[in-house]
This record gives sequence, structure tokens and C-alpha cells, in this order.
Amino acid sequence: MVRYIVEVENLVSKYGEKVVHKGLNLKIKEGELYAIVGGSGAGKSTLLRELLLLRKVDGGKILFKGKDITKLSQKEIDELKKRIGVMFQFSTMLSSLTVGQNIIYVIKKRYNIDDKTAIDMAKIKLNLVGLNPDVFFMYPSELSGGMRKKASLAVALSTDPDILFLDEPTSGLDPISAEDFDTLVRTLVDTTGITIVQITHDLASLLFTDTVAVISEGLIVYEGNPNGLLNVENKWVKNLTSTLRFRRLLNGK
Amino acid sequence: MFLEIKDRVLYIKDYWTVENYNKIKKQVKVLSKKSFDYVDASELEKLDFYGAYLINNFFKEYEIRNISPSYEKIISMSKEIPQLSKKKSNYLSLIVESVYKKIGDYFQFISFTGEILVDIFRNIKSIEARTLFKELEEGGIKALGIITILSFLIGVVIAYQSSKMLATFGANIFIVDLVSVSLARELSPLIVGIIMAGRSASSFTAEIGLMKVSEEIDFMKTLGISPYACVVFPKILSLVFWLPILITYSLILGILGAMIVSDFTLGVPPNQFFHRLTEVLDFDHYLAGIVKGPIFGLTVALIGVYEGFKVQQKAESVGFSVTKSVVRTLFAIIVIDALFSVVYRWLGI
Ligand SMILES: Nc1ncnc2c1ncn2[C@@H]1O[C@H](COP(=O)(O)OP(=O)(O)OP(=O)(O)O)[C@@H](O)[C@H]1O
Ligand SMILES: [Mg+2]
Repeated sequence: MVRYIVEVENLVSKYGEKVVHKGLNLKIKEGELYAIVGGSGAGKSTLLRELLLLRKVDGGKILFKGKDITKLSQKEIDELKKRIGVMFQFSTMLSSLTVGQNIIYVIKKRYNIDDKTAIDMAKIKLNLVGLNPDVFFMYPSELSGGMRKKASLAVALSTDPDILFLDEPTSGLDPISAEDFDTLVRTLVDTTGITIVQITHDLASLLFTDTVAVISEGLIVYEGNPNGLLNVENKWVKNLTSTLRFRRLLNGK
Repeated sequence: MFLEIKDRVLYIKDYWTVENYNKIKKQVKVLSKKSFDYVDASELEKLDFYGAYLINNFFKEYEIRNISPSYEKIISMSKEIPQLSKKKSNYLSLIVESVYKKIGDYFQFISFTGEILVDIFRNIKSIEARTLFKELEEGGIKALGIITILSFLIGVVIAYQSSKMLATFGANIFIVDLVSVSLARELSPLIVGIIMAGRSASSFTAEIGLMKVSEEIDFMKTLGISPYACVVFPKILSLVFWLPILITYSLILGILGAMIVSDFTLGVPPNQFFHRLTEVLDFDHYLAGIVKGPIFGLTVALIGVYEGFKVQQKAESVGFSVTKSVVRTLFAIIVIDALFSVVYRWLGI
């Protein structure tokens, strides 16, 4: 039986008069790598903010593990948030703490873990994302854009969440790091059973995913295997799949 | 139960995850190491890095059987814990370094000022009238409200405080001397200077700091636009222009406040107050105060701007810089005011 970790039903979101989502539906399976794509301004970041409980929806429902999040008590929400990891587009760290302190802070804030374990776990996670141990003592501002991304991922992974949201994780990374990133994400999904949802513009990372959802004009116009994109009758998807980059990627595969 | 020993086999089971970390650790710690020969993971429901960490720490020397390949992978991924080389710092060198930095900062400020002035003269043609007007509005007109209220209140407070004393001596009319001279020479310039330190120095630092962080300053430089001439000069000009006017305005309101209080508490009617005012408030006194205006304006603008340019490529340093710029401006204004007093005394003004 397939279990869904997140289900979005008839979601409506508005900014004043402007309607961004007009009754959007999607389902994210437990333990899959899920990608959300769409043109600029399609409402991806808005959707992300709603899934993270940072923004109230204007209509419809969001279910986490089958429970409607608008009907949860504060305590249940706190518990739920502990199981969610997130990496925003630029940096997801506290600037006043070093990278190591950031990871340790998140671990200790969420779970009452002893110091030694927290420190070791920070080192393990930094190693996992491919950062040099020296980064442990560095402040986020002392890192390059790509290093900051990796460090943010280490922070997001610090308490082994059930679901991880990534907003354009590979933008600003060099191709080798981007490839490493995709591989790492894939490995994490395959080994730990974590669910990873990424918003991405990177066509190469798209092909690593299990499910792709395309947002266009306020609706999900496609949800399924990335190869199925070629058969979708939608203007934006047609434009996407006819781009040279997409063609080249498919030929290379 | 996360552990069970059957026939000298340790079965690990259930969720070996971060939520259960402390519970599992407690159970593992009391385990007698001689009571089992190997570990069996066939009943393990879930394993994450925290569970794997426990396994690596406590069952290193044991064989683990019936473990799924993905769990094995997690265990191997969390096996390697890199060593950290700790940075050592000694206190003496820290103190020396910070003193050295402070002194260096002053020299840097002076060289920055020189650099700005040279640059401004060289690029004087590229200054835009539009930004100049915007700064003039921002720097002066928007400050009028707060200056009105504070100056009026200071006038009221001084007159009120001195009225009792003066009344006991029957020296009611001298309220005019006291209030007008102290306001003209000292208090109005100081109030205006302090308000500008809080308003303008902080906003200059924040504005330029954010421009630096967002690489806007660098962008201007690559376009061949001088940020000093285009951003800094209008700010300096605006404050140098406005401060004497604001000081005069503040003086008038302070005297107005005092005049109203004198009428009520000392029985000095406004016409008498005004008459006395024309006798005691020499133009020299007014001048002695007003001269401070452009100097304070320059100080506020330069320090505000300097701290803004010192912001490094990180957003969080803007906050520190703003605080620093306000504190330094206040300090500078009070020191300069004291220097004025010494010089005036010396010149006999
Ligand atoms: N705070 C806001 N107020 C008003 N409109 C907004 C606001 N935030 C976003 N929007 C509008 O909502 C729409 C969706 O924005 P959103 O940021 O979700 O797009 P996106 O899919 O993340 O785009 P991108 O790929 O460029 O990041 C856009 O048309 C945008 O103009
Ligand atoms: Mg976005």
C-alpha cells in the first residue's frame, strides 16, 4: 500500500486580488524524491511556504501523514515541525553562530541530546555533505555560496527529519558539486527512507527524481515520472521539453 | 524495548531514531557486553544516523547480522567522524590586537575622509540634482517634527527648573538671559546634533551597508559611477546645509517654550521677555552656536557613511555597524562641542 506523507487538496492561495493557486492537488509518497517545477512566478515558493506552515492557505486542505494541518493543536504542530527539514534558496542558518554551532543548536533545540553526540553528529553531517571539517568553526558569512548551500543542507539534515524541503538546491553550485548534491539526495532517499521535495530549475536534477509535478497557471498540470513529461499536452511543459537543454539531457541518458 | 537478548544473540528492534536516542542509549549502557556474541538486526523497523551512531559506538567489535544493505550504508556513512583542529587564542594577543585595531581605525577614518573629498571634487559633474533633492528632504524636512517637540520641551524644562531659584532672588527677568544664551550657544546645537546622530548617521550606515552587501556599490564602480560623489556627497551636503537652519529653528522653539513658562510661573509677559531678548542675545552668541552646525553635520555624515562602507559582504554586520556609527557619532559630537568651548574661551568669545 502506498502511503502519502503530504497531500494537498484543492489548494487556493491569493495575494489580495491575485490568485496564485486555483485549486491545486498533489500527493507526495513517503520515501520518494519529488520535484516541483514551473515558470518564474508560478507559485512554487508560495506553495513551499504553505507546506512549511509559514503562510495560511486561502482554501483547500494540506494533509501531513493523513492529518489536516489546520486542525492540529499547537503541540501537534510543534511535533510536526520537528520532523520537517528545510533549506531555503540562499542560506538556512543563524548568522550569529558558526556552522558547527548551528547544527548543534538545532539538534539540542529539537531533541534533548547530549553534547558529545551532538558535536559528533555535526561532524558526521558536514562530512556527509562533502564539507571540510574546518567549516565547523566558520561563520556562514565566511563561506562561499556553494559551501553555504552544503552547510545549510547539513543543518537541515541535522535531526534526520522525515521530510526535507529544498528550494532550488543546486542553483549556484558548480556542475560537479551539483552532481554530488543530486547523488547525495538520491542516496539519502534510498538509504534512510527520507522524503525529499525539491523545487528546481535544474533539468539535470529533474532526471534523478521519482516524481515531477509541474505547476502552471495555478494548477498541477502533470504529476508523474520525469520521462512522462514528453507526452504532456501543456504549453509550458511543451516549451520545457522542446528546449535544447532538455533534448540534450534525454539523448545523453 | 529496543533490545532483547535471546540465546546469546542481541536483537535490536523497533525505531532506532533520533526521537528514541536517549532511551536507547540508556538501555545500551546497562547492557553487559559479555552476554551476547553477535547482534541481529532483522527486527529493526527503522534506523537513522542517530541509531547508527549508537551502533558504531557500542557494537563496534561485534558482528551485525541480517542487516539490510541500506542500514549498513547508513552505519558506514556515520562511521567516519573527522577530527577538528581547534584554534587557540591567547588573551594578551587579543587585547593587543584590539587596541591596534582601534588605533588603525582612526587613521583609516582620516584617510577615508581624504579619499572621499578628492573623489568628490573629481566627479563633481556627475552629481545628480534628483538625489540631492531627495537627500535634502530626507535629511532636514523629515527631521522637523521631532526637533520641534524636543526643542520646545527643553525650553520649557530649563525655564521651569530655573524659575524657582530666580523668583527667590527676585531676578525674574534674568530668565531671558539664562535661557537664550544657553540655548543659543550650547543646547540647540547639541540637541540637533544628537537627533541627527540618531536619525541620519544610523540611516546612512544602514543604507550604504545594505548597498555594499547587495553588491550595489561594486556595480556602481564597474559602471564608472563614483559612489562617493553620487551617494555620499548629497548626504554630506544635505546635513551641512540643514544643520545651521535646524539649530536656528530649534533655538526659536526653545525660546518660545521658555517664554510661555515665564509668563505663567514668573509673571514675565511675552512682550517684556521679547524686549529683554533683543538686549541680551547678541549676534555673537547666535553665531557661536550656529558655527557648530556645519561641523556637526559633516561629522554625522562622515561617520555614518564611513561605518556604512566598512560593512563587509555579510548582512549581519549591518546591524553592528549601525550601532557603532550612532555611538561614535554621539561621542564625536560631544567631544567637538567641548573643544568648541575651550576654543571660545581661549578666543574670549
Ligand atoms: N508578498 C507578495 N505579495 C503579492 N504578490 C506576491 C507576493 N509573493 C509572491 N507574489 C506573487 O505570487 C506569484 C507566485 O510567486 P512565487 O514566489 O510563489 O513564485 P515562484 O514560482 O517561486 O517563482 P520563482 O521561480 O521565480 O521563484 C507571483 O506572481 C508573485 O508576483
Ligand atoms: Mg521562488
